Amino acid sequence: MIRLFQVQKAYPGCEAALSDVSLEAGEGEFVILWGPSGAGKSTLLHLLLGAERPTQGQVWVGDRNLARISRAEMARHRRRIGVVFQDFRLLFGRSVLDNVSLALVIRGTSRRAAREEAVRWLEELGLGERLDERVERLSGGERQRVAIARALAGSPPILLADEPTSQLDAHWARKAMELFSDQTGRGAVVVLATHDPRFLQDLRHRLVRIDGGRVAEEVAG
Amino acid sequence: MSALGIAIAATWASIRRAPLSHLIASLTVGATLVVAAGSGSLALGVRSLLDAWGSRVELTLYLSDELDEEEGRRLAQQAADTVGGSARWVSPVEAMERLRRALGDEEGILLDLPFDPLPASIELRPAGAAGVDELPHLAEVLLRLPGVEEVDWGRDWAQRLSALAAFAERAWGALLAILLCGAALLVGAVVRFAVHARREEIEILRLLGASDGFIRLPFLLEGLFAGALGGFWAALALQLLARWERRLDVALALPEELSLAGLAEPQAFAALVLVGALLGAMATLFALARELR
Repeated sequence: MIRLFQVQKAYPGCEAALSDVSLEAGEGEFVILWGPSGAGKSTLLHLLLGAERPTQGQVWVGDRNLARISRAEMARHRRRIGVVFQDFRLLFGRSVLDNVSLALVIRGTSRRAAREEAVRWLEELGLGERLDERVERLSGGERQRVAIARALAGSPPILLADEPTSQLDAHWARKAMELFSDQTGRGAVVVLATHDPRFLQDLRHRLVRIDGGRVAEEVAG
Repeated sequence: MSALGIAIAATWASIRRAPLSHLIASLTVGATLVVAAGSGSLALGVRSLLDAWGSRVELTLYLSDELDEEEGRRLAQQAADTVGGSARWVSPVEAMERLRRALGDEEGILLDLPFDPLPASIELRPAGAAGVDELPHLAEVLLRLPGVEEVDWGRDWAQRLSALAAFAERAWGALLAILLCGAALLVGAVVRFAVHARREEIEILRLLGASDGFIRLPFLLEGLFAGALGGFWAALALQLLARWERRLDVALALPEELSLAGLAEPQAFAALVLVGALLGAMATLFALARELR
């Protein structure tokens, strides 16, 4: 489902963020990209989302090379992805419920169904009492849970999560990981970037250690 | 929230964020439409006034001295048949009598003339609404009739008025283009400002997979709203102008053709709002094409 071939990503005047990275992940697979800050994990997720283009190499999602798709196709590609950004990227000035239901409306869900599903995910993540709160009034951990709910809503076939538990306490971090794992059961591919060593304890998931922009080690789950 | 509901909410939020710039944009559109509609109505009025004058005009055909009364009357009939309308032969005696009446107390100056100075003539009133632009052609046709020496139809001032009307129409066209461009640029600037204010939100929506249409819809509604509001201001202003003109009309007795009353009709009101909305939408689409590549 996801394939990267000898991908390199360099920014002008900087060392390459990624060098010669090749990676594949199929349906139902849970891949943890693990490595220190600045290793290139976020860049790799951005390439999969189509938010950035590789300097060299190819990024394929399904049967599409992301470098060769139109704007409209790119929008369609992103609608198949649930993503948790490192900085959450929530829409300020809007409610918790709007932030999640909006993602569903963008994916073509009707208004009513979108609200119902958004409420279900937000309740699952302990935010049922804060549906109408504006996101800027939430704590960091709560914002992160909204971002996770937004990514999971609509059960997209691909989930990308960048440090999705960085601001969560142990209880909610465990809960979030369970919810991501559940998605693989229905065939979704999950790619999660983290530098948290706690994730290394879960041997069910495939581990890809990234260091200095390269794949340093791979451990099958 | 549906896509349209989201767009309307975003539009409303943007208007609330910068009410003054939206008000200025709508007032500019309104002022543009007032000037465009007012001057356009005036230009059309001048043209129809000239055409109306053309339909009322009388051409005078001065005849050769060699024609006797019977030939003159026959020629009058021929002239009427040629251009359509009615014609009447006027004898030199009748012409002199008219001149005498016109001179009034000073008719004495005609007593010492050794001969009758006025030629026989034909007074021709063309049928239908011959526009002022058609008169030169009619005169040319009539001048070719045997026995006609000169055709008088107020050439100089009719031509001057016709040129003035043509100039007024051209000036109106140029003014309209300049004003519409100015208003469109201002609406576009307001939309660009709104795009910049929501740059981060647009980026997030794109990353979530929002289509171009989904992202553009709130801005399009914003432009539509500013334009329609401008049209509303224009319609309101023209209503007031028409009312003021009605009061002035009593004192100035303006010709009906120059009246603004037509612009105060409900259809004109709706048309102005529609034109304003279209102007706003087009300006927005143009601005977005440049801003959201």
